[in-house]
Amino acid sequence: MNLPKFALKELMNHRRFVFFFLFNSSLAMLGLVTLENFKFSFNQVLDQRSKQILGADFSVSARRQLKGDEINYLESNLPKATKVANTTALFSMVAGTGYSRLVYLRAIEYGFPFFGHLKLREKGLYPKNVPFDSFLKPNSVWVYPELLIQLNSKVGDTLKIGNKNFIIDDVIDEDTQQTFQMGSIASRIYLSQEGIKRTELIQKGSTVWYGNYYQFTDGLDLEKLQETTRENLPDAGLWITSPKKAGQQVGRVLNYLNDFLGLVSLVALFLASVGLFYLFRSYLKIKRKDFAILNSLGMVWNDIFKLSLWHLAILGFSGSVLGLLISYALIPLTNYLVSFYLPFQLPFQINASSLIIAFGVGTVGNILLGLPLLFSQHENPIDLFQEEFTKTSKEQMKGWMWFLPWVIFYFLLAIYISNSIIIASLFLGLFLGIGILIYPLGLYLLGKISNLTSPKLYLSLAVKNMARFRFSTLSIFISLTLGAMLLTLIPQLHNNLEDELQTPSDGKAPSFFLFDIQEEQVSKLKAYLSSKDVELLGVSPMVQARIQDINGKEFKISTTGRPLTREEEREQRSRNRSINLTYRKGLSDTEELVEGTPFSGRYGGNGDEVAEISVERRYAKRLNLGLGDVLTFDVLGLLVKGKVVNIRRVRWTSFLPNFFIVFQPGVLEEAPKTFLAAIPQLNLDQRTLLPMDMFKDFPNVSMVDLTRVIKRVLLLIKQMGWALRIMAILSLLVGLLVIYSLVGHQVLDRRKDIVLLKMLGISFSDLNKTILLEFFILGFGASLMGISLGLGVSYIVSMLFFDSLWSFRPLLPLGLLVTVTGLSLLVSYLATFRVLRSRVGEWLYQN
Amino acid sequence: MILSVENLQKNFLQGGNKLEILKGVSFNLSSGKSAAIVGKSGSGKSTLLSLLAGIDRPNTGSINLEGINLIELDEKELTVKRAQEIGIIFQQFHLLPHLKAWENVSLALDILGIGNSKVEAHKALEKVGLSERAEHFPSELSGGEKQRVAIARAIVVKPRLLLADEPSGSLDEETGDEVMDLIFSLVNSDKMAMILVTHNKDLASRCHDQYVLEHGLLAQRNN
Repeated sequence: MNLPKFALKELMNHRRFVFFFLFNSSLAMLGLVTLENFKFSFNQVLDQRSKQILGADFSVSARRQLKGDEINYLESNLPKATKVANTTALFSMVAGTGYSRLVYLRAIEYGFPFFGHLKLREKGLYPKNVPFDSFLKPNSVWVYPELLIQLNSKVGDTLKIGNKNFIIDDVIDEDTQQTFQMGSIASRIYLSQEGIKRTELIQKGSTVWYGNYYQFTDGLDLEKLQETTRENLPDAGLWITSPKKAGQQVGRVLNYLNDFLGLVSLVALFLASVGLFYLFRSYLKIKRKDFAILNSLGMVWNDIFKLSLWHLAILGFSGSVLGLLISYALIPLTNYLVSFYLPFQLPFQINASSLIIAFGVGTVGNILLGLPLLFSQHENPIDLFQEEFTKTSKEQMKGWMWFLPWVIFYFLLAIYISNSIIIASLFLGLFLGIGILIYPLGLYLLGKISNLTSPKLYLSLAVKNMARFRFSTLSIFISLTLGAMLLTLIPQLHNNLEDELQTPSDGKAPSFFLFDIQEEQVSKLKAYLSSKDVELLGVSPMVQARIQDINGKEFKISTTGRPLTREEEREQRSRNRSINLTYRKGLSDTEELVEGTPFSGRYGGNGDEVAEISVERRYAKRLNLGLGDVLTFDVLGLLVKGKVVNIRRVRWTSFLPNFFIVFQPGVLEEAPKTFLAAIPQLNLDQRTLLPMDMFKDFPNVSMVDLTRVIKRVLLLIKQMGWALRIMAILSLLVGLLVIYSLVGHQVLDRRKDIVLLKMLGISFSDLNKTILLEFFILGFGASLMGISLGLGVSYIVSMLFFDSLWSFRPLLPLGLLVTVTGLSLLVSYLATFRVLRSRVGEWLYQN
Repeated sequence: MILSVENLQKNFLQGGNKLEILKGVSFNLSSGKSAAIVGKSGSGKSTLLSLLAGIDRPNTGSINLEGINLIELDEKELTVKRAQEIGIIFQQFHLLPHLKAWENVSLALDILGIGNSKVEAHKALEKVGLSERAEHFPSELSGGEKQRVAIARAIVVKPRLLLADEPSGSLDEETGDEVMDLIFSLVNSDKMAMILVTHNKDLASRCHDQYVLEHGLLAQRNN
C-alpha cells in the first residue's frame, strides 16, 4: 500500500480537522518565525551598531606604539585585510579666541571609520560623501559643536593645538563612534595623522593611544580572531577588540537584551510544541476507531504506525510551509508597521535560522511529539473499539518514556536558539522539575477530593470530572501552569530590563557634566551658578585609588583566557584595580539601600580603625563582595582600609555623578581630589551662553555637553524598550493561542459526557456551571501556581543572568491571573457552546 | 392513553436531496403496555425513538405524552419532561465513564433535585441485581453489567414511559436474554409503558403490540 498517498487521502477526508490543525500550527509557526526573524533583524542592527562604534571589524590598540614582534605577528597571522587604518589619540589643551579647553584629539586616516560616519555640518556624511580632496589637511580640524561655544570660535577660525595653528574646517554634528563613557563623551577634535605630528604634542612620556583598525571580508569569526590574537599577544597593555566587544561597551543591557530574546524564542517554541501536541492528540482521538478498523481488516500495526507518522509529517510540514509563507508574505506589512511604530530602522529579514526552526519544529518535532501518543495506542483492535479502557501504571510509565526523544530534540534546539547550554539546561530542568513536582502532588490531592459530594449538582460533577479524569486534569493543569509561568516570566524579565533602562523623566536629564573642579572652586562655582538661578547637582569629590587587597588577599587582574559565561566576562571586565572613590554622608536621590545599614556618621577613628564603605550592588556582585568584607585601597601611596557596611543600588541612567565605592565622611577629605558635578537641563539660550560666561571665571573646569550623548543613549534605550515590548507581546499571543488549543482539546474530550448529561435532563444552567466551574478551578489554580513559579523563576533568572536586577509590579501577575482564567473560561464556553446548544440526538445517533 | 403519536413526519437533507424518513407515523400506547417497533436497518426506527424521547424534533405531527404535546415545549421544558417521565436505554449503554455505577444511577435523581439519591440508586441497582458492583466504574464492568446500570439509571426516576433502543444489541445471546427478561419484568412490576426498538422478532412478540416501520410508514402487526 502506498502509505503517503493513503495518509494524504485520509487527511483530505478530515478537512475540518486539517483546517483547524493547519490554522493553529501555522499561527504558532508564524509567531515562532516572526520572533526568530525579529531577533535576527535586531541582532543585525546591533551588530551593525557595534561595528559602527568600533568603526572596523577588528582593532589592536595600546598606550604605546606596537612593538616589532607584535607588528610581525599581526602582519603574518591576521587574515588579508581589505582596509587598514591607524589612529592616534590624546587629551590636550586647545586654545581658541581667548579661551582654552581640554579636548580629546583624534587623528585619523582618510576612509576611517570603515563603518559608521561623522556627520559634518557642511560637507555631509564622512567618509561616504567626502572625497579625499575635502578630507582633513595637515592644518585643518573638525570639531564638536560645543567647542565652538566653549572656545568662542566659528568655522574658519584658528585654534592653537600644541604650538601650531589649525583652521576649523567643519563641525561634527554626529559621531557614531561616540559612546557614553568618560573618555568618549569628552569633546573631540578630529585631525589628520600629518596634523597630529604637526602639533608636536607626542613627546617621550606622553599618554597617547595608538589604534590599528582592520576591515576584513565578510563571514569571518571575529570573536575567534580576537581570542587567538589575545592568546598570542598576551600583554595586558594591548586592547584587542572585535565589534561585539565594542558593542558590549555600549552597555551591558544589550547583552541582557540578547539573552532575553533567546529566552523568549525558547518560551515560544515550548508553547508552540505544547499546542501542537494537544492538536495531534485530538486528531488521534478522532482516528482511534479508524485505525482499529484498518487493523481488523488486516493492516499490520507497524503500517498503521507508519501511516500515523505520515499524517504527522504531512500536517507538520504543511503547517510549517504555511506559517513561513504567511510570515514572508507579511514581511512588507511587518516592515511597514515596524518603520511606522519603531523609532529606528529595522529591516525585517528572512534568515536561515527561522527556516530551520520552522521545519525542525514542524516536522521532526511534530513526529517526535507524536511518538508518545502513537505508542500509547493499544495494539489490540478490540481495545480500540471500546469506548474507554484503562491503562496500567506500567503502560503509563512506558508512555512517558516515549517523550524522551522529544525532550532531547527540544534540548538541542534550545541550545541552538539560546546559544547557551546553561540556559537550555535550566529551561529543560525547570519544565521537568515542575512536572515531577506537580504530578504526584496533584494525584494525591485529586485522590483526596475524588469522593467529595455536594448538594449542588454542578459542584459535585465538576469535582468528579476533575478528580476522576486525573491524567487529563493534571496534564492540562501542568500545561496551563507552564504556560502561565512562561507568560509571567517574559513580561517580568521585561520589567526587570525596563527598570534597568529607566531614564530620567523629561527635563530631569542634566545638560552639562563638569569635572576637574578644584576643591576651593566648589563654593564659588555654586555661588556663581546660583546667581544665574542654576543649581549645581551631585557635587562629588573624586579620589583616585587602586584596590590593593580584599580581606587580606591580593587583588589580581585577569587578562587572558576567553570567559566561558556572561558572568565571568563581567568579572574580568570589572577586575580593574584603578577605582575612583568618593565620600559623603548618605545616599543620593539616585541611590537606594538594598542591604546593610547606613553609615554610622563621621569616621571617628584615629586612622588605625577600618572606615565604613558603601558598595554599588553590581560591583559588589562582580567582585564577590559582601557585608563585612574589608578592602585595602592605595590612595597615592597611602593605604586606607574600608569595611563594607552596605550595598546600594545606583540608577546610572540619571547621568549624575555616581561611584562604585563611597566612603563615610572623615577619611578621604585630606586626599588629593577633584570634584565632579552636573548642571540641570537648561534652555537653548542658557546652554549657549552659560559655558562661555562660566569659563571666564573657571577656566580649568572641563564642561561636557551631555545633550547630544543623552539623546543618543535615550534613543538606544527606547529602541531596546520597543524590542522588548514587541517580543513580550508576540510571546503572549503565542501563549494565548496555546491555551486556546489546550482548553479546546479538553472540552472536546468531554463532549460525549456533556451530551449524555443533556440526555439525562440536566438543565442548561447546571451544565454550563459545571463546565465553567471546572475550567475556572483549572484555569485559576494553574495560573496562580504558574504565576507564582514565574515570579520565582524570574527572580532566579534575574540573579543568574541579569545581574540581580529584579522588580515586582503587581499589576502584571494580577492581569495574567485574570486573563488566563478568563481565557480558559471563554474558550471552554465557546468550545462547549455548540454542544450545549445542539440537539442531543445529533450526537448520540451520529457517534 | 399515555402516549398518542399523530402524523409524525421527519425529513433529512442528504447531499442536497430530501430524504423522507418518516412519512406520517401514528400510533397510541396505553399505560402499562409495551409496543415493539421492528424494521430493516435504516428504516427510521432510531429516528422515531429519538423523536419520542424529545431529543430530536419532527417536521410535522404531534407527540402527546400524558396530554402534553412535546412538540410545543421549548428545549428547557422538554429536557425537564424527559428527565421526569421518560427513561431511555441505548444499545451502547452511554454511561459516564468517570462515575461509579451508583453515581451514574443517582445522577438521574440529582438532576431532578430528588434527595436521598444515593439510597435510591442503590435500591435501583439491587433491583437489577448489581448491588455488589455499585462502587465499580463502567470500565470495570462487563457489557451485561453496564446495560443493567443503564437500566437502573432509566428506571430510578420511575418514568411513565420507557424507550429501549436495541438494549440487547451489543450483548451475547444469553446476557441479552437476561437483560430483556429484566426489562420486561420491571415494566410489568412498575406499570410503565415501553416502546422497544428491535430486530428480534421473538423479543417483539413479547410486547403487547407490534409495529413494522417500512418506507417511512408504521403498520401494526398482530401478535
